[in-house]
Amino acid sequence: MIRPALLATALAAAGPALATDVTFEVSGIEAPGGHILVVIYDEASFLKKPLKAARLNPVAGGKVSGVFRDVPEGTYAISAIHDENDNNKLDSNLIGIPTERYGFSNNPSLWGAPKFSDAKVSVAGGTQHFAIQLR
Amino acid sequence: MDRRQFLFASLAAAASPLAMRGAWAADTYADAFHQATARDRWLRAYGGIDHDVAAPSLRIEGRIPAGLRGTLYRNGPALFERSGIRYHHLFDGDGMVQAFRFTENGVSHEGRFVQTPKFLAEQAQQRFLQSGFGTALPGLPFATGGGLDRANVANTNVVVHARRLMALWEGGSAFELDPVTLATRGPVTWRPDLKGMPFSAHPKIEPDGTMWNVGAIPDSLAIYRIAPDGTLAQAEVLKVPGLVMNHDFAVSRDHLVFVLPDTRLDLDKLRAGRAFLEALAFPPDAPMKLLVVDKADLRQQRTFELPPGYLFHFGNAWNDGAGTLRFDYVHHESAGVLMDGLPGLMRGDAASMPPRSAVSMQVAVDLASGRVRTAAMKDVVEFPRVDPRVVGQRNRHLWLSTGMGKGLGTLMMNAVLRYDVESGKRDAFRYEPEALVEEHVFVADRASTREGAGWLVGCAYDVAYGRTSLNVFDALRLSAGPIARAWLPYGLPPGFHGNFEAA
Ligand SMILES: [Fe+2]
Repeated sequence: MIRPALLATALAAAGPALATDVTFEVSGIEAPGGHILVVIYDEASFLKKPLKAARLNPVAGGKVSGVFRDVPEGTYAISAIHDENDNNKLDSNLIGIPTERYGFSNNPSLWGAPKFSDAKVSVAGGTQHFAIQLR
Repeated sequence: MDRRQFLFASLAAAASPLAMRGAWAADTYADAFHQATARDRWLRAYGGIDHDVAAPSLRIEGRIPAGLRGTLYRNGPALFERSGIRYHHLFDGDGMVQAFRFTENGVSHEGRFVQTPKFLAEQAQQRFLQSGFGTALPGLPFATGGGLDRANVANTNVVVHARRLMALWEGGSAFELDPVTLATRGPVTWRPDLKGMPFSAHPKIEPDGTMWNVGAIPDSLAIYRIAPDGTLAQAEVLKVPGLVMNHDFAVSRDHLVFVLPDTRLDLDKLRAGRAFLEALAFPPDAPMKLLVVDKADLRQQRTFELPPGYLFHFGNAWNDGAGTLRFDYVHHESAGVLMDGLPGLMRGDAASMPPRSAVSMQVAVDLASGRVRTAAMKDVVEFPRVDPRVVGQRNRHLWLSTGMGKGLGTLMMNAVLRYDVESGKRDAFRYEPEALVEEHVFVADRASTREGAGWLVGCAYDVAYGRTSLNVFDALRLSAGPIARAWLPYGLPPGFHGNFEAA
């Protein structure tokens, strides 16, 4: 049995109040090279300025996972790209079609520019996990 | 990552499995089609084929002309079903390239599937792994972050340029093949920043060897100019607001010519998991836009109006030297063939196929005044071709496929036709009434430089016999009938387009 005082200590050690660890798993990786770049945004920063970013080694044919720690409660969108040539961006060809694989939280349809509302997820309490499929 | 880079993610689909729940169960195309083949035997030609074929020596009736030496390459969709699922649109079948080789020893045939990544992956698993242009399969994307190449079926045309044999689609890369073995070498990337771009199935090769091609995505049109030696000379992207897709175009000495039907794409339907075809709409009675681009400066563009309708194909275009641009295209009254006819064909529902109405339209554009004159020919036609020696220049002859007589001839094509566009005279040959006639290709007789001197070659599927013939005509005397017929020991699904490479 855990006494109330100990429980309070355990909660305090978990970090600032109402902050969450957001874990993610990226699947659909095909090539071995480069890095998987995973970025979390809020609505104001969507596709403009990452709040947090992770850079992971790809596992061809497999999945990679990671964590964004201490994310305040709120609404977010996570994007993942496979930056195969390590230039830190999603490459596109001359007509504007991305030439590297990418995906979003919620795994929305990628027809047309994804909107924040298509990819948004709620973060509140404890640990939260999201799976992103690269396409 | 910036937002702009996702604007073209419109070519990147990720179908939601939930949105398409139940679609497998509702798939009735395969059963409906196979039941219909008992009633309409001609449908068997569209049953498809699931393996490569070869016949080293075809049985020949008549005599192959001594000057006709080389290879006729053809392409078309050929595999339509896996694990009991049948595609809903003819355009979705995997491309199979045919090579008919004319030598001193006769005529041989070989047919091989283009080994696209899609085909290879689906062969390995013996099931479909991609949705198609006209077929949404539950949970299976049509395209991905990298564009449409993952769905590329390389099934529309096959062309030789600078000794490079390429199987062509419309929404993605050309696939290079070995001209001798037909083995697939892989997608062609003309320049690193052009990777995965749409490269249409209707490039135009001018008499000097310059190859022009285009590729369309919504609101943008890529223009490619490939030098006679096969190297990329130019690639530009034009903004064309409202553009959704583009199948063919024409080149004249001075211009690139496009006819753009008013086309709407409903992105919400795509996002909800519907097929690309199902997200298309064509407002009735909307004029088509004629877009004329200056070859010397692609930013110089003019637009004109053409009557409401739809089109797939152009014959030729030329500048008359007095300020008039002339061209011809095959004018459909509507997009009915695309939207209803070919889905109807795939489920064997001939009654739902709209009566064929397409006619050859001869157009003259007075570039100074903007006046556009059109004149429609009478025959119901498709697949216009000209002598390759006059591409972009004044042409006198135009070869087409047509449907004649009653019965199957009202629904499909069973005849070939030549117009003398100067005199208005026509020269036609009708195959056996129960025949399915493909595009026929003009082959120049190099013993002459005269336009039209040569042969017209093409395939016809004999419904009663269940076999395909390859036919050779004197190109200026179609009505005399074929001078030679080479019979395959099997039937082939009727294909789309091809070209002849002289030995
Ligand atoms: Fe075509």
